[in-house]
Amino acid sequence: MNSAYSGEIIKISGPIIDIRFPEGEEPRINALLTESASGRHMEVASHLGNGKVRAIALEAPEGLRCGTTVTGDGGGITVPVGDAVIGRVIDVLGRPIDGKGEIKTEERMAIHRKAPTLNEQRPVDELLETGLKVIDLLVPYAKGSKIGLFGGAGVGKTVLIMEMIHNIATGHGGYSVFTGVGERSREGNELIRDMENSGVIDKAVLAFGQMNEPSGSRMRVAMSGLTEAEYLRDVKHRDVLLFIDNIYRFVQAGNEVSALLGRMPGAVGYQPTLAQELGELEERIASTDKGSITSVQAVYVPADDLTDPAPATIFTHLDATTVLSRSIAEQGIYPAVDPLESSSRMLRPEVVGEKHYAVASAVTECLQRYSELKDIIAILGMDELSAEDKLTVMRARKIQKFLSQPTHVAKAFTGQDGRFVKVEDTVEGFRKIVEGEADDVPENAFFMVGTYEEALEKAKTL
Amino acid sequence: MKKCILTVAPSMTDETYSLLCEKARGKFGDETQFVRKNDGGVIAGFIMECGGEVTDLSVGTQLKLLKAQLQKREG
Amino acid sequence: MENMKISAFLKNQINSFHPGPVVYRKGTVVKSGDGVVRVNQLPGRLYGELLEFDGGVFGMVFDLDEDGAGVVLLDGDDRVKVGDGVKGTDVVAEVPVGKELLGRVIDPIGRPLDGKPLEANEFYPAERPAPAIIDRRPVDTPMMTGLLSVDSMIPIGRGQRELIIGDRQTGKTTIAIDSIINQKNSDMVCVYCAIGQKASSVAGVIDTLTKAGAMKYTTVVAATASDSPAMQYLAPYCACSVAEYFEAQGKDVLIVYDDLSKHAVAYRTISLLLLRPPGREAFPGDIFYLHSRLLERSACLSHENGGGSITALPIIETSAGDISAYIPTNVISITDGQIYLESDLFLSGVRPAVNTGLSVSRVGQAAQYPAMKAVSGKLRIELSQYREMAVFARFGSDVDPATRRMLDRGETLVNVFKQNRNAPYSLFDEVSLIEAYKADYFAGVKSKEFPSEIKAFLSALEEAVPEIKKEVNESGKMSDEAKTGLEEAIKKLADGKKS
Repeated sequence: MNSAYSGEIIKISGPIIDIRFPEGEEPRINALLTESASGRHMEVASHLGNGKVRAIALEAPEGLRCGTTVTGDGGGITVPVGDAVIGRVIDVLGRPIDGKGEIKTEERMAIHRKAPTLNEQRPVDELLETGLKVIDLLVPYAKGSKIGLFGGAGVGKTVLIMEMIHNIATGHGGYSVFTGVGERSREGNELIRDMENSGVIDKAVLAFGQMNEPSGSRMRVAMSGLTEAEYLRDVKHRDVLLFIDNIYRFVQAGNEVSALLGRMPGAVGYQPTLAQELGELEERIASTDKGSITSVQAVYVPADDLTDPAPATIFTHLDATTVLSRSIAEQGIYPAVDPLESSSRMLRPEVVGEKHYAVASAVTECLQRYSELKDIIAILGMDELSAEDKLTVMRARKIQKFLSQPTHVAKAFTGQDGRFVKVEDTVEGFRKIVEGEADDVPENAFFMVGTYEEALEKAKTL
Repeated sequence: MKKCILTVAPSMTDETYSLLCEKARGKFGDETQFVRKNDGGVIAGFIMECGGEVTDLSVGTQLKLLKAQLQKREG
Repeated sequence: MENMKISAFLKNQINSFHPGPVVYRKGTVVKSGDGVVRVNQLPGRLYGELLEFDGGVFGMVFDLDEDGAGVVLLDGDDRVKVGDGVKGTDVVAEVPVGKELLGRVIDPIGRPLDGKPLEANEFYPAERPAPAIIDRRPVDTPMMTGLLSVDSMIPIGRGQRELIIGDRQTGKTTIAIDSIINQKNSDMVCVYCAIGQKASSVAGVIDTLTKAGAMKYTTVVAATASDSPAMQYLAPYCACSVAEYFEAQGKDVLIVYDDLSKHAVAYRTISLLLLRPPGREAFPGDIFYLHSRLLERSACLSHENGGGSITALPIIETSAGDISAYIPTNVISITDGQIYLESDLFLSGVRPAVNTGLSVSRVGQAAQYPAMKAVSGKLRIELSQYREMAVFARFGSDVDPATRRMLDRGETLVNVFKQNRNAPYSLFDEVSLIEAYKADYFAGVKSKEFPSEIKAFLSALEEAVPEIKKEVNESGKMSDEAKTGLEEAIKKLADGKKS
């Protein structure tokens, strides 16, 4: 590596490393440095004055010494881009980690980039069909939009992401970029195997910085993946599907280094720069005149608290939110989407059409009413309700069950084949329920099926 | 300018000590300052400590190591 | 030894002794207190290096700067004074590994605690990288705990991380110990890591394991409550390295971390004493990474990498059942599931006190023997429906016959799941108990009578169909003939009871 910059390590405190350069010759912020003895990498975070620079380690610091030399060419982290990366799996520094040898390309892009300007932004209103009833009906996704997947620990987030990769990418014809940020290596392994088995990997790029990695790596890998998506958008002019699992870990990693960088803690102990760090990343995930990026970001909710500053700030950047609920999962309803907590800006008659909008509104009202009546039912029993309310409750229970659906990727658990349901069928099926056409069909017929016709079939066996 | 501590047996003659310093200067540099410390436990040879780097060529330490090795075998 | 032999022996020893210069790096203590020492000089000091102070006390480097280092002592903090010398060992914290470790009790840096010397040929560093994403394979083999409620409804697989979580005194350690004891008929090796526990508790565990014959395949790594926070900090990493040695040989290892709540507290102590800024609940910002990098080292290796695995059972203690607190949610988001133990259940006699509604195993049925998978499918749902009904039934005593039956069966099921400690079941025992429950064999049996009923049932069954027992325990599968044979045997025993 070109050693335009050469300094000496003077302090190590966990992942934070201080380096002294000749005064006036400090490399810029975000420059990538390499330690000479072990080849370990670190990134410049701030200038301390008198030639001193504070850096964040991208690899574990055990065994490093003070006094060893650190060099860099002044540039930041770059990742290989282009056709050679398609089908490959990289780490935060763009190195291949799939055991398939070198990535042969001359082209590289820096991972620190600016968001598209106001002029370049292009809002997109075309619907993206996921094949999942609860999403397509109540929280529809649009091409180029930013979708958040919220849920605490263990409610089926990763399974849902994999199902969407399967449904959208398989039929989509575009490219997918999947970035694993701070999640389980086991899940990374299973995802790679699944994507290889289904062939989806041939249209995808994967980047991983999982929870075994130090904070610097987890902080930056989100940008490494995003850069791959930006290349596909800006240079290849493609529609790109970007998945990030889990964007919360990006914030968490930043939190880990923040205090050691000398910053005062903000709300709930988070870094004071939380909104800024998130903003700089999220604003890059946009659709422009060159192409679109549709993103689905899994958002972990610490302690199941949706008002925590991290998920709360992430909310503001999203066009649609799909909230997974533990209580719905406990009833065995998967995907465990909470239809009343989730929302989408796409649910407007101008975008989805009058019929879809009307049915979605009716379904939501029905569910809302049911949730209001639940307490009365629990204490006084169903008999205390008016005839009209009883009907609402019956239909609401059918709606709840009909919102569940067997997924392709969860077949090992459910024993059932996955179902992809077309939007028209979804809308029509729910219309029948709210308008009373299904009042004689037992509610269990609607549990874990695809279309309305399937429910009728199932009813015959009950 | 480096400072080195040479720990030697009290019985080491000044002549031998000067010779030792001369050889050491060859290694560490002419400006090195030497300080003599006497310790009977050294028995013969020396322990040289320069800027935190210690080189122990004393008979006393070697005997301790031999004793430890013997004790280990017996146990 | 006669005089001649002694002198020959000595001559031999002296001849094989090779004197040479002893070279080391030295520093001086300038500050000492609360187990944290400031050391000056010590050229070439490494981050994480083990240092030896005058008097044989060890410490670990946690902060490095131009003038010296911040060191956390591993023991004897009252023995280190200002002016004392300290030597560099060139070694970042490491632990002895190898077959010699089986049956032994050691501290995190490998010093034996069971009174016998330890000769090890190999050492692994305490901090080692987790297996790369590409070097793993999906979990596909069961790790049987021998506990019916766990193996049937929250099955654990080899290479999985399953958290055991609950308030104090809810039976967490017992589940882990029973899992170790149950490995005596398997080829698994076990490591029990005690962090911050009372020495008497650790002694109790060792005693239980010894009496059960489990120590011969188990290593105990212990840092008790009176050990320094640095020792407690190191303990799980060192224990994991011990496990990784066996994993590298292609073996399946079970490791228990008892417990990670105390581990987090030890690390918080160290961080605060090193003046690192506190975050939420005064824990340092990288408290998540403390546990994530540890638990990510438990994995299932691909066959190209030897096919070994490390199954982890980390333990977390909650306060007043709050699983939404900071450390518990951190660890839940790392592990592949949790076994949630509840005080109320424990105190009302349901032991193991497993709350099946809130417990989950994300690896699911891929981690179950076919014989178990075939019979256990509906148990969770039946239990959860029973619990829902039981709440309503409390409001009125008038229930219709169908509901009555469901309530009775639910109560029976809860009783079938109760199990004494240190008495794990074999796969056949578990499968038969479930089949017997389904056939209403235990209908009408009172709560108090269950332990003896179950015991009698299992021994009668062993006498009646020993060949089916052998088939199921050895193959993990139950053929159609075996299933029929078992059902018939149960029916026969049931009829025999009536008469």
